[in-house]
Amino acid sequence: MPVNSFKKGVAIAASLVFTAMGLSAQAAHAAPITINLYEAIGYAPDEIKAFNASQSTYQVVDVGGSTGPLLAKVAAEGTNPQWGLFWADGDTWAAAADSAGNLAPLTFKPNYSQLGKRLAPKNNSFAITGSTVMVAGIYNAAKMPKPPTTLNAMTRSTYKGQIGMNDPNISGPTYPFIAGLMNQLGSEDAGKAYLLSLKQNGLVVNDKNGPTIHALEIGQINMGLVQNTAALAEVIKFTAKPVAGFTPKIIYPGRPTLMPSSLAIDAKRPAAEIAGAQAFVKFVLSPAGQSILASTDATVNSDVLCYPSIKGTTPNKYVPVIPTDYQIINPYTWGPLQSEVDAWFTANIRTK
Amino acid sequence: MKDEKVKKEKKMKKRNGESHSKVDASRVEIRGAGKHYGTLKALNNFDLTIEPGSFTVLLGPSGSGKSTLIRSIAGIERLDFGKITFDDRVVADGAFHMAPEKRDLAMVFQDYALWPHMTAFENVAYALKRRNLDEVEGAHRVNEALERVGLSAKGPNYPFQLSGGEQQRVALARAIVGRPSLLLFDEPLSNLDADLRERLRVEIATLTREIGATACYITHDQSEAFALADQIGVLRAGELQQIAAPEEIYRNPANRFVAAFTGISGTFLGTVSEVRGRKVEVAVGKRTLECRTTADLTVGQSVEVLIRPSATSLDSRNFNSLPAIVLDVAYRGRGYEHVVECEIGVISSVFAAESTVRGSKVEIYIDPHQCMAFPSEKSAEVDAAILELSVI
Amino acid sequence: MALDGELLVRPRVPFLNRPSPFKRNLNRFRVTPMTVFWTLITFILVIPILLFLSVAFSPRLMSQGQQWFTLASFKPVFSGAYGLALLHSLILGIVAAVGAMVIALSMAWLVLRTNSPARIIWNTTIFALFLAPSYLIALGWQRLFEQHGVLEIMGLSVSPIRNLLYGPVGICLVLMVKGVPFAYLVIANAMRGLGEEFEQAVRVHGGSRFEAFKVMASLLMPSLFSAMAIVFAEAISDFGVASTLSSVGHFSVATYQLYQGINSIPVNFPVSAATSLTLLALVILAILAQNRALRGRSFRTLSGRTRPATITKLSILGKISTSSYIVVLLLIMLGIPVFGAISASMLEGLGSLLSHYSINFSNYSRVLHSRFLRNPLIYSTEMSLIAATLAVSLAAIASKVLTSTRNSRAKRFVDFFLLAAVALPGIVFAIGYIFTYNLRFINDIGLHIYGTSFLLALAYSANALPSTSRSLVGNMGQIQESMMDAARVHGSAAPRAWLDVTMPLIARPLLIAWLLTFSGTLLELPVSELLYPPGSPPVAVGIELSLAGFDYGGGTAIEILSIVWALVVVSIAFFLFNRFAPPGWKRLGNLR
Repeated sequence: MPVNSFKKGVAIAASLVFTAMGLSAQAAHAAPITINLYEAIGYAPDEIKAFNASQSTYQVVDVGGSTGPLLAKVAAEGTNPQWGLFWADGDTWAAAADSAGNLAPLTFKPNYSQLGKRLAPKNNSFAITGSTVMVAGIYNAAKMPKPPTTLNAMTRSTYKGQIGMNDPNISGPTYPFIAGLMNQLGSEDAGKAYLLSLKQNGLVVNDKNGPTIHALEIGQINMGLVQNTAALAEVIKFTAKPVAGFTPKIIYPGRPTLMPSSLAIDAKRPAAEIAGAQAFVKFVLSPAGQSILASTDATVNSDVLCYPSIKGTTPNKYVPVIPTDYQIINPYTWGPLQSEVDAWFTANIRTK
Repeated sequence: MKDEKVKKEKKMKKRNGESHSKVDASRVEIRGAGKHYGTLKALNNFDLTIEPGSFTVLLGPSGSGKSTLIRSIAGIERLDFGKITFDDRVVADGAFHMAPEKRDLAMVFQDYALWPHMTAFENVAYALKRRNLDEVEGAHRVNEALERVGLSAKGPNYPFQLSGGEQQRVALARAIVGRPSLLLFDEPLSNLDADLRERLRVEIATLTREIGATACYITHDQSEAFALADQIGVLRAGELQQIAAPEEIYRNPANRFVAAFTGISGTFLGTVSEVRGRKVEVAVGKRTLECRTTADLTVGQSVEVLIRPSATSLDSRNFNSLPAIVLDVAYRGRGYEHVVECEIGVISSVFAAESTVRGSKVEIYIDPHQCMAFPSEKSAEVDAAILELSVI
Repeated sequence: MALDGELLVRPRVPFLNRPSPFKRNLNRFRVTPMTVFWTLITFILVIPILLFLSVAFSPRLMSQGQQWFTLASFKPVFSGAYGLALLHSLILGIVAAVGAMVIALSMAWLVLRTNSPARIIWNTTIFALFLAPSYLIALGWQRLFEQHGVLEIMGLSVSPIRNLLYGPVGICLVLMVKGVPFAYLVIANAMRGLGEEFEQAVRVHGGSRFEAFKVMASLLMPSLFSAMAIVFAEAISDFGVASTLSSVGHFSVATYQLYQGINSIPVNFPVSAATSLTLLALVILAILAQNRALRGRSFRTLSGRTRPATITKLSILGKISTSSYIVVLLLIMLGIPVFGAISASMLEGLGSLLSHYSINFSNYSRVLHSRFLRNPLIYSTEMSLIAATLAVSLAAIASKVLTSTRNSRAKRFVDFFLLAAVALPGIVFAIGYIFTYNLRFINDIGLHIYGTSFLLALAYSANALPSTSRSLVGNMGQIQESMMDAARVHGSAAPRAWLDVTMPLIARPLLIAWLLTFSGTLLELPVSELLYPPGSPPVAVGIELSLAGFDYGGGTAIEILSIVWALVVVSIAFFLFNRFAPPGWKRLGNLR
């Protein structure tokens, strides 16, 4: 009797589970074609909402997260990918996916601005939705009236122990900064030598933008090398509510690197989904999609502080003019070096 | 048809629970039972019949399989092979295994196994649940059971508020309250001190017989076994060595293991010098002893002579005696028990009404009916542990 | 005629008279709680872990590379720098485990066996301790000791301590503090089941109070080791605390290498898997140490004969000193994270204590309408309810296996995989889940469970299983098996017997284990982030997304609201238990 009733219990539980699963599967099939968007872009949910409201054939579903874990998820899915769209800062990941033949190129020509054209891949294999600057030097003008303006200046003893940066192993946008350093200094080795000299000069390494900016607020450092959107968000907050002794300002030491945000389509999904994904990308790059950049509150969503890549888009009101002397690095060249550089960073800068 | 009717009546009786009438005791049959733990055979092709209403004690050292056996009868343990039936009910057969709760039996555990979150009353009442009695009748039965074990006032107490003896009495009340047709005892007295053990043993013996249930009791203590049993089964390494009435076991042990485990005060090695049917003469040192044997011995064969405690006395007869020196003497109320050293070994429990001082030279008479010769086995099987256990 | 007769008779012979081998096998294979348990353990724990680890040798197996077999992934692991990092992890783990155990043991004794006045505060706050994520603990430490931090504003010069705290010592301290509540639960549960007779035995044989304490500690050994093993495994799998507190200290731990593999582009799982294997080697060391120390002993002390312990009456001085000890510990353990949370959620900016910033609730009023709060919190609550129930059911069986005197192979197996699941960071565990449940052939047979709530619930349960099981081990180990047997023999079927006998004896530990799992799951991040069904982010993901948008105040406010919510659930559960549970259930294992 007990065995039987237990069996019965298991059977009931199992049937419940399978019914539930069946129902959800059924619901998914009856509804419009769904496309999973893996995204690490703060305003992506607004784009999704607007897109889903604009048509009824496709339903984009949000899978938000941090870039690192999302890329790990995609890698773990391997040859059976469940993502239809991937949207995150940077273009090295997109270049790597393109090289591996995993991306479906755009079937339309986006109406890129001059900047957008410079950033976009020649083969149109993924879309550029905007760009941020890696890195901005956010400094406390109250304590550091004369910030270093060049790379060399940062290694001077005047600034010893006053400069902080993020760990590229944890902060996604920090690798493009390091790659940019190497690019402008002429070689990978020159870049490494430069980082070592920064370390000699008391470089403080925090995990990512937030902790680095916090270190600036408390005076552990007086200048943080962070993503410009994070720096801008900080400046906006303290411009609205000034505080004595803390006056954050931004400069761009050396040649800052322009880092695009990329939106890519999975080539391995069914054709109908790919068509929907194309429609979504088209929507994001359309005037309707682009208007979200200007209309979103940047103080709680710093990703809208990017430079638009589409002709005619009004940037968010807090977005300053683009630094004059920026550089763009080739993701197909610098992407493949990332693992090696990150490992080197851990061994020689972070933990030594 | 008739059987069906009888069964039904049995069932009805049980349900109504005529508390003072005797229960319908089960006949337990075990055929070819086997239980292996890896390479260890806890039970090996084991056969046993327990007659309805009888009190059977299974005696064996630890590791002999007695615990496995009683737990298999209870259904707590699952046999690998073999069949167990209660009357005509098969409770275990090959892969078939009837759950313990369906076997309609009761058990008293070595560590009492009282439930600490229930009072004594609740502990006893728990075993009555399966009878589906109404509350009044149930309470009546529980109180009656507690009364029978002398704990009528302790119903509301939690186990931790009771002494060890009281706790085991509660366990006993729990076992009898449902008037099961089979009662199992798993070394119930081994955690109690000597005095309490004796008293509770008497209670177990009388209560069980009062109820009339079949009882199966396991122990490693031969005095307990002899005191309680209608029949004793001696177990060793998963096999039944002998099963018989206590007197028979004591007088005619089937082999030297049974003899050794049911009480000896000493052993000697010797050589057979003459065979006269079941009587043999054994040369032991410079003397010759007359012994009984159950084996077919031949002249010149090496044998081991096992001596029952009751066989010896401090007597100098010209027959069947050995010279010895008194090593120790202990006062036992009715007289004295001596430990003596002979030429070829030590004998304990030599009884005499008067004491003999340590170091005296004496002659020990050995009753030929109570000393037994067994072919000596290559591996000296009387290990110290067994001897120690069996010395009365 | 004859032919007909034959036809009628023949088929009966094989079918009825001879039991077919198939039928016999069917009889042997019975659906018991144990078969269900082993099946679940295999699918939710063993296979995902093994599949993840397999890519260290065979990247191709999970399409993470070209080779079917290679040892190349081990190259970084065999470098001197990694060896040092692994050694750091080992030391960190041991110190955190021993420290947490010692504090927890002293605390359990003070709370359960003395009349120290402050024990009441401890009892009411222990749950809040569980809910403090290590992120908040580390944050609190920072806020206190940093430049312009609270202590400096109060005029204390803390820079020498700061350098100490922003390095191995601080990491160790935070991990230890994080381990204490868990260790306390395990040890206190075991201590409640330990009657006073053992202590009395020491005292009457001339032993001092300290000697008695030592005997009690050795009787508690299984639970002490159980607690230490978990704290150890948690500590070696930590990444967040170490990376937060080593911005200046430059202290390497083994998990850096592991995360490097995961965070590199393209992702390099084989290296992470190879690193994971070294962490598992540490776990094996821990288990060996545990087995050596216990030598298979388990002390079954909880039975009908157990007498509740009496409480040591402390002198005034004793009361004062023990109370201050408790209060100081609480301040460190609870005060610091609470402080971190308050400063981060009630202040503007990144929560820095800059002079002119006033505390306000604007972040709270704002996030009440945030898309990251309401639905995610409801969803997380539902998932946590399911996960806690499943995890506790499995943990009850697992702890039984772990404390069983028999089948030691099964025991070692469960012990290893449970600890392995803790020693592997959550993200690794989640990746193993994707490997397993996103396999094409699983989809081909019609099972689409990756990306469903069903799988998320399984993963949550598996993730919580180790600590949940171990929190029960102490109690399970104390229950004499014969009590279950007695219930069976006297007429109760196994489930009934379990409910009547085992359940009441462990009702309170079960409730606590359930609440522990519930609250732990509510804010769990790594598994949530990788496995949540598209479109329904759990609240931990919501918090992460808020923080990613540089809304630190908002993110922390959501976190605090979730913690408060969890505390509400905990209080309701305790209220219901105290109000409605049968008296016998409460009598044992009751907080005094």
